[in-house]
Amino acid sequence: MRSKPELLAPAGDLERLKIALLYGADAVYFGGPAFGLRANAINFTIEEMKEAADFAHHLQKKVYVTVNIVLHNKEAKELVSYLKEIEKTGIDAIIVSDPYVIKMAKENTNLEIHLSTQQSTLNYEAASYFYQEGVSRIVLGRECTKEEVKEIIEKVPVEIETFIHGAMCAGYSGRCVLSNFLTDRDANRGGCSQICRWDFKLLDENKKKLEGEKDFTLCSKDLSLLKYLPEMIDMGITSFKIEGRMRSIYYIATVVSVYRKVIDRYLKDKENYHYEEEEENILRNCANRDSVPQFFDDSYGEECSYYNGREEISNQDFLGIIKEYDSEKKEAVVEQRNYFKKGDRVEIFGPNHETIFYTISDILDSDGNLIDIVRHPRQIVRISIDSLLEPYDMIRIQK
Amino acid sequence: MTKILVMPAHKKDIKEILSFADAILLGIENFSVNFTEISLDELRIVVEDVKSEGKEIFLSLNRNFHNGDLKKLEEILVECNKLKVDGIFYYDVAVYQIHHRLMLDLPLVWSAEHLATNQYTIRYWQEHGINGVFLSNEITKEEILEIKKETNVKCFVQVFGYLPMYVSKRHAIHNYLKHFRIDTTSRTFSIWKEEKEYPILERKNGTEIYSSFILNALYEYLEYKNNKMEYTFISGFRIPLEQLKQVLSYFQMVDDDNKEEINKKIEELIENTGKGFLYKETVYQVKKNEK
Repeated sequence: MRSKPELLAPAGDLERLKIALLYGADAVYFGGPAFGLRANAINFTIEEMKEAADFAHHLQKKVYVTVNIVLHNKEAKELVSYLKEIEKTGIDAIIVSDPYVIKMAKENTNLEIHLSTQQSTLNYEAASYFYQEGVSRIVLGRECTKEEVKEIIEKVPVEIETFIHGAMCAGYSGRCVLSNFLTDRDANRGGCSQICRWDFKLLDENKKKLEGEKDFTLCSKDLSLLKYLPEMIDMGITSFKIEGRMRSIYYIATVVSVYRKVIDRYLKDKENYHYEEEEENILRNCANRDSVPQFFDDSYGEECSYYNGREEISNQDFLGIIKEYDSEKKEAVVEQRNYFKKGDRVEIFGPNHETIFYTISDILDSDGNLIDIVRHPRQIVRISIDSLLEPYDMIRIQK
Repeated sequence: MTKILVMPAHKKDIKEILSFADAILLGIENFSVNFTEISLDELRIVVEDVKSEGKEIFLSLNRNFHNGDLKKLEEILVECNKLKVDGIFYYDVAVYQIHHRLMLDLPLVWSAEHLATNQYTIRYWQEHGINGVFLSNEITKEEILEIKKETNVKCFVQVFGYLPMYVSKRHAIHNYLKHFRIDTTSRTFSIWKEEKEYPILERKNGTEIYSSFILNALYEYLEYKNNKMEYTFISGFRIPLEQLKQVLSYFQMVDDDNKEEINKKIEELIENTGKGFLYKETVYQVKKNEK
């Protein structure tokens, strides 16, 4: 068991992987060119996997690769050669859901094996089975309560990983094929089309519509367990997982940095630790969905679901990313991600310094002309700022 | 011989459908999803009724179990062992683990719904001593036949009835009605989207949703028989008893000579039939994402 819990972040591509690790994740997970469960994410090539492992190991961090697809006959034949190939890249573990993949990985590689949440492991008997089968870590199903997690940890000597933040499946993982039936896209093979977010009419036994103000939906709010983190650390959970391989670099940087700070602050001084509402606000502002503790505190009732009509506003907070800093001229090169202008009150945050509160003053375009507004996507500008900034620092609007 | 395994929509119908079936498949209260449930006390009587007719009885203990369920689950398994139930369908590995630990003499059927999709994983379970597999409804007929050919466990495959699509711990109907303060005395519900109606059901342990169509694999049933499939499953969920009995009698009498005539009769009796994924592979699309 690790003495300090691991903060595990998603990585949709190499840029997001680097952001996640630089902002404080201890490990990242991503899909490879095959057998993963996020067909819509940009999955890593074998070469990128190697680069990812090298980058992470250089920072004494880890990378895990998802091999959690539900296999059909035709692709199962390619499994062993794939496992051998990804082992050579230096990755630290694979995340699998199918027990046959566990068997093949054990027989043909020395890869560490983590059991995916797709198995919906919710009890100590199931955890014990998979531990005996050779997995070193189990990602528990999101339906587990705090007491259940605690009991599993007490009874089974396997590393436990739990989700702490991000989107929730409305159904049990692996038991929802709405996407297959309604759109022909296979939910258990990476094609989930999120039917749980569609609206339906709810009919009674006489086929009469039950009239609510909004239509029926299965849509769930997101998960956030920030408040419970100290308790979870003390329970002995090995790894805290953030969901969202499809999320933006801003989302990843923000969520990772907040959880990093809370973990470190608690471990540094447990006696004087206190929960800061402001950190929850930062998480709330960077996502565009409400988040609640869900099953963890066993309160998964009415308040945990969306009832439609919610506004999913595209997040405009993220203004830009620092590409470089010229300490002589005291200028930062910024790549724009959202409209900003001279006079905007902003916060600049990064992995290696406290948040800087700043008012945008002079802005120069790529030709060196003074401009007032940065309106073009990915536009490169220079801003004047005395504080020493670093590549991958990010600028967000102050709220 | 290919046996017909039936789940009646209601427990009161068990006796009536026995003459049309080779075996019955039921759930146990609070320990099953997608199956008609009976209590453990009722099970003792049902086993006697079924066995006295020379038929088989299988139970599906296919919920996702939490720690608090395990003690009772163990009791149920021990009781089923005593009653010599013909087999237990399981989803959660906890069932296998308890069965193994107690060394029960009770056949197990791996019934992981949407996950029993390839012969390799089935062989894995076969090596672990299971006796059967309930194949996924989301694979093609060709895949079903290939799995049958390449494995040595008893194969179960659905040939008629609504198909399960979704299981959740959440109480989606209750939450919706409560949130919008809707009063209703309705005992059954469905959801409607784009001219299709999907049965939805809420139990103590969560919500289930089913396909908009009733699978009618009558022709495929004949192929399964030719390929020595051990069990074909007919679900009576939301099918009136008289219709179900009629359908069962058609499956009993169908052969290569009369199959078109019989199929026509089924289509006349049941309006919304479909073939599901028997001839249609699911896809997983890749689209360019945005940062």
